[in-house]
Amino acid sequence: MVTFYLGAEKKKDIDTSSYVVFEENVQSKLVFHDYLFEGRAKGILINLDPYGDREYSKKEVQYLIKLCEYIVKEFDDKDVIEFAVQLKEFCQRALEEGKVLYALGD
Amino acid sequence: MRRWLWFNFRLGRVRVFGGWRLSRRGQKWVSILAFVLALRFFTLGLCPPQPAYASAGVPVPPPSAAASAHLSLGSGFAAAGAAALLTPVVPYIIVAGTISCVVCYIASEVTDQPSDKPSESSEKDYILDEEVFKDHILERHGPESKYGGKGKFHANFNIKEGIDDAVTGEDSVQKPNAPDSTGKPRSGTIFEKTYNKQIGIDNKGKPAHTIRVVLDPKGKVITAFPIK
Repeated sequence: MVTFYLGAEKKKDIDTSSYVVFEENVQSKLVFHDYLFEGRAKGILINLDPYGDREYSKKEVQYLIKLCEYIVKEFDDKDVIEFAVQLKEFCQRALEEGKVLYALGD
Repeated sequence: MRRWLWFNFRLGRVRVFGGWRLSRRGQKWVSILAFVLALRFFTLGLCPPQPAYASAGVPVPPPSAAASAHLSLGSGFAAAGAAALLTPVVPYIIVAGTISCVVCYIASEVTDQPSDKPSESSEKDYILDEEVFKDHILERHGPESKYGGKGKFHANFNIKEGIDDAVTGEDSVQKPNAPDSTGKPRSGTIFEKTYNKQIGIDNKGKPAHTIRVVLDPKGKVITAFPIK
């Protein structure tokens, strides 16, 4: 399972107190409807390795915000929408505070 | 024709085969001896003796060159035994045994080539990197981990023993890795072992009784963490 954190440019300076959890069931629902997403979305969010780590660039964070808005618009599922809203806020925080967004697997 | 082939094979003036022949009784005893030896080598090749440490739960390396050699010798003696029943000419018996032995050995060497996909036995021989253990497993899932949203082991649970139990234990469960967006499993394997006692908490803070260990295709531990 992947968890999103904010941090400095060095991976060791991650703020571990605030986070957004990308639950397995939410990821499964997105994967099930992967035909709704373009290739870039799959690499950035839908197809994240549950045991791998990823660091997002500023452009990718901006794209994630649009992706979250798209998910909120397209999906009816409560868990999926809740996750997308949380992640969008987290991404906006990353841009405002000039922090790096990390997706860390288990 | 048969008589010519068995007894009178010549190269020019030199008589190659036929000079060294067995009596009927000799044929019988040679074939019995060859079949007994074949049985012995087949037994050694198919059921190799286990090293003493195998019973202690330590992973045993897969049978390799020794088993191939035993099976090849077994096949060679079996062929020689069959040949001894058919012909009294000793060189033919020896040639039949040798050819069978060599062919069997080459075949076993070709089929034993390591493939990209690891076998179950090689996955059981896992590698736990100290760096991965400290910087990943302990940092994210250790009892003193500060990472929110991650499962954590209890301080009284021996994580290294748990990993060994999950990967090499007989009552653990082996699964393919999580699927990607195409539905195909990612490379690597998941091992899970469930305990009667609580070993930690899962990512939601609920009691966890199962350790999940993820190995990459080369058998290297990627991560280990508690789940419900």
